[in-house]
Amino acid sequence: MKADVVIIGGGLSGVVAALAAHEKGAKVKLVRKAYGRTALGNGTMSFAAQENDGQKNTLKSRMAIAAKNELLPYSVIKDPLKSMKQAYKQLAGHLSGGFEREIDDDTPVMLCLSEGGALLRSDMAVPQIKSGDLARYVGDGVKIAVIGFAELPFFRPKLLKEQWLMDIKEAGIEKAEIRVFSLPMLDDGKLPFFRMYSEAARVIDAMDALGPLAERIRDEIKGYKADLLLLPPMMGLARRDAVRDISELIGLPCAEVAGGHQAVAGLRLQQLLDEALQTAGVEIINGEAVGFEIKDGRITKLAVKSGGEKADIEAAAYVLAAGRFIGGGLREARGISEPLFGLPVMYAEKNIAGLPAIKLVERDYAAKHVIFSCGIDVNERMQPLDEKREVKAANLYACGDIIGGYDLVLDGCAEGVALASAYIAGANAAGGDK
Amino acid sequence: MSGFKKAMAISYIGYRTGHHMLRQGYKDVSRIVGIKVLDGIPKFTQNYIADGLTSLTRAERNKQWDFSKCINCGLCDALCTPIDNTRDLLSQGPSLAASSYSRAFPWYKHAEKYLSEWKACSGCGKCSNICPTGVPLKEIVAFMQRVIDKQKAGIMVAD
Repeated sequence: MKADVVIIGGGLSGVVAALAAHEKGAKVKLVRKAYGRTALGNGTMSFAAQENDGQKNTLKSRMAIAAKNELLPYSVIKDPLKSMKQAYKQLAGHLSGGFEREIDDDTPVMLCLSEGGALLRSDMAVPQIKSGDLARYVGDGVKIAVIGFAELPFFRPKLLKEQWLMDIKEAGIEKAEIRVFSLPMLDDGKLPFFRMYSEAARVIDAMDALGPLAERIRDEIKGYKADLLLLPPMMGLARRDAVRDISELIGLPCAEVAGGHQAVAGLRLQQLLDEALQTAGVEIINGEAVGFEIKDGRITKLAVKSGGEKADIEAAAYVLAAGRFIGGGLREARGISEPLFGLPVMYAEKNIAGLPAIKLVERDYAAKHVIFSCGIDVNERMQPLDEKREVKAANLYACGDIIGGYDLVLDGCAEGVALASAYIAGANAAGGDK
Repeated sequence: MSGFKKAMAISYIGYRTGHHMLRQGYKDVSRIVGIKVLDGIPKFTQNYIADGLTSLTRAERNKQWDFSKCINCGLCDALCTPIDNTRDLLSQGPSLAASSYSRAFPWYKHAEKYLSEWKACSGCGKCSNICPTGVPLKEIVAFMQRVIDKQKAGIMVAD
C-alpha cells in the first residue's frame, strides 16, 4: 500500500492532522487500532488553563497563564493560539452542524455542570452540552431544573445539587437556584434499571416520538419557572437532535450535563470526527502499527497488523498520534515505553523510559503525578526527538496526547495542544517534507 | 513417643505404596480382562461434572490474560448493532461476556440465555475493533459456549 501521509491514531489529534494534510493535497491513510480517549471523554474540549484569572477569563488571558508553565508543549509551538484557531476553523468546517461557536482571542470560557458534581470549564463541546453553557448568566441569576430518571440510579442530581450551587456561585452567578425533579423515563410501569448511559441512549434512539416524554417532563416541572433544563448525559446516540427536539417541545432551553463515565457525548464527538474523515475521503485502516523500517534517517515503511494479516504501508511522511496509555501510544507494562518507534519517554527533560509506574506516582492523590504528564519530546516542527535530542527521523511527526509535559486533566489544555500540534504536524507532513 | 509416631508414618507410607501398586495392578488386570477403567480427563469429568466443573486447555488458559483486559468503558455495548434495540436485550451487550467469563464454571449456565441470543450476532467484529484494550469478545463468547457444551455433554474434548 502507498500513501503520501500515514497517520497513526484516530482520535482528535489524528483526525485534525489527517484533515490538515488532506487539505494540502496529500493522499492520507489513517491507521487506527481502536477508539481511545476522545471516544471515552465527556464531549468537551478545553484549550487552555482552566484557572479563573479574575474577571475576563478569555481564551487569550488563559493562554497567558498557560505560557508561564514551561513544561507545556505550548512553549515549543511558535504561535499556539494562531495554530489552534486555524485548526479549529478547519475542523469545524468538516464537522456537521453544532460547531459554529467562534474560537477567538476574547471568547469567554464555557461553564457546564458535570455529571460528577463539578462546574466544568471548557472551550468547546458537542452541541448537546454546549446549549447548557452557564457563562451567559455570569453577573446575573439563573434558575436551573435538573431532571433525573428513575431508571438511571447512577445519575444522582439530588446528591450533587449543593456542590453544583457552590461552584456556580463561585464562578460569578450570584442568584443561582437548582431544583431537582425525578420521573420515570418510560411510562409503561416496567421500570428496568439501566446499567450504563448508552443503554438509555439506545432506548431514546428507538423511541418513535419524543412528544410523550417531553410532555411528562413538562408536567413534572410545571410551576417552576426555569431558565434552563438539564438532562442526564444519555439523550440519544444515533438520534443527534433529541435534546433540540425536547427543547422545542417543552419550550425551554435544554442541555445535557457534561457526561462522565460511560456517557455517550465522547462517542458522539468521535462519530462526528469519523464522518469528517469519510467526507474528506481519508481512508481508515483498522489495524495496529507494529513495526517500521528506517533508512538514512527517513522512515521508509510502516508494518501494520490488521485482522491477523500483516501489510506494509509506504509513505512520504508519518504522523504519530497514538495518544497515551489508553490509546496505546505509551505502554506501562514492564516499565514505561513508547512501543512503536522506541522513542524516549520524557518528563521535565529527563528520560524516564524503563521506569516502573510505581516510581512515577506521588503519595498524594490530588498531586501532579509524573506518569500522567510524561510523553515524548518534539521540536518546533513537531518532529520527535531521540535520546541525543536529535530528530529521530526526518519524515516522522508527532501530535496530540503522546507529546508530554502536561496533565490531561489538571492542566486543562489537552485538546488545545492536540489541535495546535496536529495542525502543524499534518501540514508539515504533507507540504514541508517531500 | 517420637519412635511410635515414626513407626506410624512409615507404616502409613507403606500402606499407601502398597495400595497404589495394588490399584495399578487392578487397572492392568481390568484392561486385560476387558473392564473399562477411567483415567485422566475422563476420570476428572466423571468425578466433577456433577458440580459443573470442566477442564481447561493450556491454550484457553493463556487466552484468559486477554479476556481480563476489560476496563468497563462501555464502548462495545454502545455500538453493538446486531443486538437489537429492543428492551428485552438491554444490559446484554458484548461487555457482559467480558464481565461474566471469570465466574466459576458452575455459574455459566445462567449466561446461557444471553449466549443463545448472542447467536444473532452477525460477526461484524465492531466490538473488538473499537475496544481500547483489544479484548477478543467473540472468542470469550465461544469459550463460554464451549464450557457450557462440555458441561451438558459431560465429556471433555481435549484439544
